[in-house]
Amino acid sequence: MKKKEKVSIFRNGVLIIGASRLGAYIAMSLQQAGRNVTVIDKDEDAFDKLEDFQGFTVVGDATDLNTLESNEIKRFDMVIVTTDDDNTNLYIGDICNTIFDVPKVYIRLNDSDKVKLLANSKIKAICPFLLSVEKFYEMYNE
Amino acid sequence: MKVVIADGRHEADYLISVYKSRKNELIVINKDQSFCQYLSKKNRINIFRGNSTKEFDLRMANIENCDLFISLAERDVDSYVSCKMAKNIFNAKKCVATVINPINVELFQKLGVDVAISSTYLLAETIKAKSSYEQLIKTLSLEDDKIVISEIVIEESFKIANKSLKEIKLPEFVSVSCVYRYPHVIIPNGNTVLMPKDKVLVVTTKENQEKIINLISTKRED
Repeated sequence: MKKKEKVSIFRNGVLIIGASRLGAYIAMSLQQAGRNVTVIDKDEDAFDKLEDFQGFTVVGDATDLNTLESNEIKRFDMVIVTTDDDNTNLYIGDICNTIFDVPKVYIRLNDSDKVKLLANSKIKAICPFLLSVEKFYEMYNE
Repeated sequence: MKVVIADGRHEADYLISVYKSRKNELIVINKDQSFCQYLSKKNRINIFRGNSTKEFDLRMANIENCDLFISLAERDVDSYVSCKMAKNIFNAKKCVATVINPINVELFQKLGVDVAISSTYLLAETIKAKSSYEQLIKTLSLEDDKIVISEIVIEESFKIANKSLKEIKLPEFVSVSCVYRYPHVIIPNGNTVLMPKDKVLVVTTKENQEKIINLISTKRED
């Protein structure tokens, strides 16, 4: 058995993977709310969307395990995965949850069928399709 | 056996010929229209054109309860999601994914894909096994590299040559399982003497392999 680490790592901070419009917006608003925010994207230009952003930005491919490890993924208590690709989001979400044991993982899934893959998992999905349907019925029932 | 081959190009083509000849129920899914036509014409089978990471497409291809699901997608994330889908939603018995990035081999297995194969990884492992310890030692890895069997040829100059196993006092983490002395195969006990030119098969864990090989091949000091 591995020896237990003497100092338990203090997790705080929010990691956002994929500076899409949603990712960038969440990054800016959480930062304004006083959270310590880091954003990873493989394309440097994506950070142009971040206005008045004081957090960290990292250019890198988060599907590569080394990128997550070198950014000390264990420092974060929340990871939000908002790249424009569902499969990438699912994959990174599973890594953060299963391998790095991040307490809160949120991922965006455009294909609502893929939400099923998260059954029995702590990962929470943000699904624009389901949200739109919900909103529609909310308005319809008013 | 019900076998599904998803995506891939020449690998898919080859696997089709392998599994077709063994009279399996074969389902092939590919997203490239022209490649589907090529595969279909060449192998004289139906190819399903679709996206192997979409539940709807997999359902239309009727992959339910397949015995083997092989994903050959170009991107590792796609192989992962299609395997996960096959396993979690369609109850596939065994999933195999090919991956580009060698570090994903271990990762995929931790994430629940039964087998992950990386050609780079295999190549590197083969080169490592062949080149380590000169050509003196052949190794065979079992159980995902946890157990290694090494073949060591005893030389006259070794410290342990002409000594019995009892005298050599090997550490606990190694077992000498077989001694091959032409033309006999000897299952050793404490009294077995290791003679020069004997081929010795030792079983160890991967971590101890180098240690034990160094120990056995220590030269006599004189």
